[in-house]
Amino acid sequence: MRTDLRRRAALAVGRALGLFALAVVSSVSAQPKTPFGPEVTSILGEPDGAKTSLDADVIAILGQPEGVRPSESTLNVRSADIAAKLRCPVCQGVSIADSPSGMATKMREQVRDLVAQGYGEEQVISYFERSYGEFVRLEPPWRGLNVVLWILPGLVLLGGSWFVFRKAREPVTVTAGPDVPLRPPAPSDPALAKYLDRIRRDSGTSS
Amino acid sequence: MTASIGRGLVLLSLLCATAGTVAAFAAFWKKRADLTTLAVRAAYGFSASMALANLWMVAALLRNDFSISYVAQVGSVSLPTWVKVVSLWSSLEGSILFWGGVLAIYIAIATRSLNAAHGWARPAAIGAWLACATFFGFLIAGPAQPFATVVDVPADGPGPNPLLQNHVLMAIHPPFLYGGYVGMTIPFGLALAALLSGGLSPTLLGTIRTSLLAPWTFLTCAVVLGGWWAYEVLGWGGYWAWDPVENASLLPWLTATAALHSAILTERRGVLKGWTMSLVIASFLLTILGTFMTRSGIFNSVHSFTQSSIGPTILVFLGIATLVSVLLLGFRVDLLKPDGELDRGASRDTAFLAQNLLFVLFTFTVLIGTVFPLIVEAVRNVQMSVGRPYFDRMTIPIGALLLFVMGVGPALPWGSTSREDLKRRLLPPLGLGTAALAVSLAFGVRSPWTLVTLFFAGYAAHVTIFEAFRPARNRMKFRKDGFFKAFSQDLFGPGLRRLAAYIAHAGAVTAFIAIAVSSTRATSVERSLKQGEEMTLGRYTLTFEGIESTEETNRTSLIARIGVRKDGTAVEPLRPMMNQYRSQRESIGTPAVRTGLVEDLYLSAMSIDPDGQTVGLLVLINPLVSWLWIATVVMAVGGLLALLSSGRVGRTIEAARDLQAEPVR
Amino acid sequence: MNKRVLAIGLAVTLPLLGLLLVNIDRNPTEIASPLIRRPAPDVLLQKLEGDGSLQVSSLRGRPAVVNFWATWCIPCVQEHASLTSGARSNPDVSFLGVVYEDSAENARGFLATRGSAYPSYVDEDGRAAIAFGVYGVPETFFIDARGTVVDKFVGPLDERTLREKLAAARR
Repeated sequence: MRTDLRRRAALAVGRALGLFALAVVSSVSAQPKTPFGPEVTSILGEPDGAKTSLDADVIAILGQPEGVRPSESTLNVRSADIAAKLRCPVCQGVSIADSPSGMATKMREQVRDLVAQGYGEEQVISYFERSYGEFVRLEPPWRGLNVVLWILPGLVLLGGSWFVFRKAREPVTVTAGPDVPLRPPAPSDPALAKYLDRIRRDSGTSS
Repeated sequence: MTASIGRGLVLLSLLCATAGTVAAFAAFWKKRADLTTLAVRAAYGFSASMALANLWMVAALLRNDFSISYVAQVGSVSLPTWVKVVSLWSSLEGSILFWGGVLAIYIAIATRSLNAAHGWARPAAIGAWLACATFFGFLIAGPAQPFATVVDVPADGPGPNPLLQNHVLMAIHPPFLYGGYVGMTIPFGLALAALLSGGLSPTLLGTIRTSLLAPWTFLTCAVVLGGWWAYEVLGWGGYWAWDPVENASLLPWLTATAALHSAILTERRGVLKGWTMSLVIASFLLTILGTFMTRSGIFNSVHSFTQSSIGPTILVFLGIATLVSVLLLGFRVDLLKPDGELDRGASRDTAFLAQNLLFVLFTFTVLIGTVFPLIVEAVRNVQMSVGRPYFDRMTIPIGALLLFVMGVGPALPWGSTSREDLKRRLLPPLGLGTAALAVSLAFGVRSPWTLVTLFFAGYAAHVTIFEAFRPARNRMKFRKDGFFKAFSQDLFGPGLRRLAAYIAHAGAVTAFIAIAVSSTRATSVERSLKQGEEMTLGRYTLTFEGIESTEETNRTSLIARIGVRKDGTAVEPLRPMMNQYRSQRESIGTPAVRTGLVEDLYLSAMSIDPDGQTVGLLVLINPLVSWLWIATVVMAVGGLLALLSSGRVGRTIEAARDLQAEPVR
Repeated sequence: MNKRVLAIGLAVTLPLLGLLLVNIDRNPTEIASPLIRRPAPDVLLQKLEGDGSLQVSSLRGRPAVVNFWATWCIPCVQEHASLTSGARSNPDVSFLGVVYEDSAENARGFLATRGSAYPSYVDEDGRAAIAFGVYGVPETFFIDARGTVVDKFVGPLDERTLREKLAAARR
């Protein structure tokens, strides 16, 4: 009866943890827009400063924009999303969204312009990538060797969870009660030791 | 002359450390108590001479003794006294000397705390510590010699790096960081000693736990102080950018936190001994890796000020320490036999295992993300970046799961229990969790991870508070004690250890809430203001009142005076600055922050044009950021109390007697 | 001996140590430009002195040297003399300066006192610096007659380096 309950409890915990593992893995592989959702209301650049004329260099690299000009709020959110993924070249590893430097400000303005003209996220990033290389991407794209970076933590989680489940469900091998008295060793008075042991098991409060 | 006294002290400490290492390991292998005594003396000799060398340097800095190379490099007659003192760690050579000084204090205290009960692990541990001391003594005596003699003694020196004087946090951050980094040497030495002697006695485990708590507490403060510095100085409105150096300070903290928890399982159940030792060892190795990352200059970081030639030397030490540790673990770990069993199923033991797994996963993720650009560069010869989007995406779910375990774990019983009991333990906290969820929804929180985090935080807060006061409540219930009497027994008695753990948990829950809310609920606007122009964000109305400028020896600063009205009432004006340092290309801004318990108003000047009288302003309203600093203090208090309580372990039995107040069913 | 512990320990630590070892000389600030052997960015530049603009693609037909500079940048001041004399002695090469993160007034004042042998352009919105992938100043790009970037030099140019790089751009 008792072991049955234990097994079922273990199974429940196992299932719960398994679901969590699955949730984590799927959240990673699904690659949502940002982990936070569109709650950061960041306004990049001057609202009226956007250039409308098309840049020869941009067209040479990205072609004519396919999308349509987004609404003001979409524009803000989308530009902020992209800015958070571009590395500021004059800073030390922060994104252009996170840098107060002049160069980062100008890059944010260009991001905003490109988004306003209807270019998509991947296109905007690839425009910067043309001149700064893969270095400019703060979020490594899912390709080639980078896949290792994205899946290794997941593999460690799966391997570790398997180990923990196995431990949690392994049959008990030692017949002695699981409650080893608190160290340093139990009091010399055996009656007291037994008594304390019982209290601890029942109260679950000692530590 | 004064320089040679300094060199003499360093050489003496190196000699003591080397001789002590040899004596200690000889004592261990030959089982000779007389050699142990010799090693103990050598340890004290190292500590004394290294501490004196530090004091000697501080004295030289205060006396403006420019005949010592380090003083000539960073000192200056005109500096205020406090800057002179902190100059000790403001530059490479001095900071390594300071490392030696901190190590001296740790080794002296640790050597004193070892006694006959530790058996032959005692000389082994002293040997391991002194081996590390030998390395740092060598580093100070050789590659990073701060006591070189200056032939043409200058009349004055340049003073430390101006950026270091930019903020007082730069002065206090290093002592905390070193207190954490260097302190990991002690549990590391003890873990090696456990492996060498092939046994982990309860006494030794207790000492390891205590010696881990001190650096853990320092490191907790150091990690957040680094973030606080970034927040107050860098001007982008955040405190954590997953910068390699930030990651380097976080990594050993993660493994040390895991070790503190797995040590509890080892203590209670007699299991996972090798695993706990591995975590302790990893914490130390990660501190050396962190030092390498900061000092070698192979990583891009806002926090690394010096690019130095000692990188390869540190790498050699890291390599030796790692190989010795791995080999010792491989060959000796089986000697640390378990003398108990873990509970199965939905028990506290399982929660501890899950906690450990998540912390290790966290460590692994941060580590691989930090070094991955090096891998890609080595394989594809292409520079790439792994930045905040990656780390956020990967660590937010791990953090949420950790918070879940922190809530559920302490609610689970030691040992197995019935389904009814599980329900009784696990269901009530859902109340506070749901309440937290409802409140956040009412405040307009919509991002899923923030909601998940706040729900788990509510759950964990309930469990933490419930568990923290549980012994006191039992006493009140069954002994009819008053609250203060019941609670003070925990505070002043052996129950403190348990209480301290829950205080640290309370700090952690607070930190989770502060991070989740501040990182997703910030509002920001970038605006350019003409003089006299106003703008409004949230409850604040800002007026650009004018430009001031100050001229200092090392920089020119333009200051924008911004009048602030909160809900219509004028409050203290804020003064974000742009500083043009003589030695720097781009001007560096200093943000101005109005700190509040609910939200911070954060102003960062992006550009100040004195002719056109315009200012480019980044305005942020950051909610709950100050709670992160408060949470850190709470966690550190938890760590300190736990440290205090470890002196009371001998009185555990009295604590158990207190529980007699609870009836036995 | 626990072979599994040993294997896992070595498998985790050895690659990491090896990785740090091979990267010991790494300089994180040296980043290769992906523009090399690619067409030069075709940006539009406004003249610093007077009106008028320049489309970079119009430079095709002869080699070009594009130098990003600023008056606050000490190495730029250092290399100014060698660039000026380089422009004078290589009339077959188009030299152009692009002012980076600096005001047009500062730049004009600087050129008025120091003299110049080639036109400079302003880059108010930073588009040229972004398109060329500039990390800081001074940075100099060498473009051949077909409009392809052949080299990028970071730091102050001396006359010898300039000659060598120009030879490559002429090929």
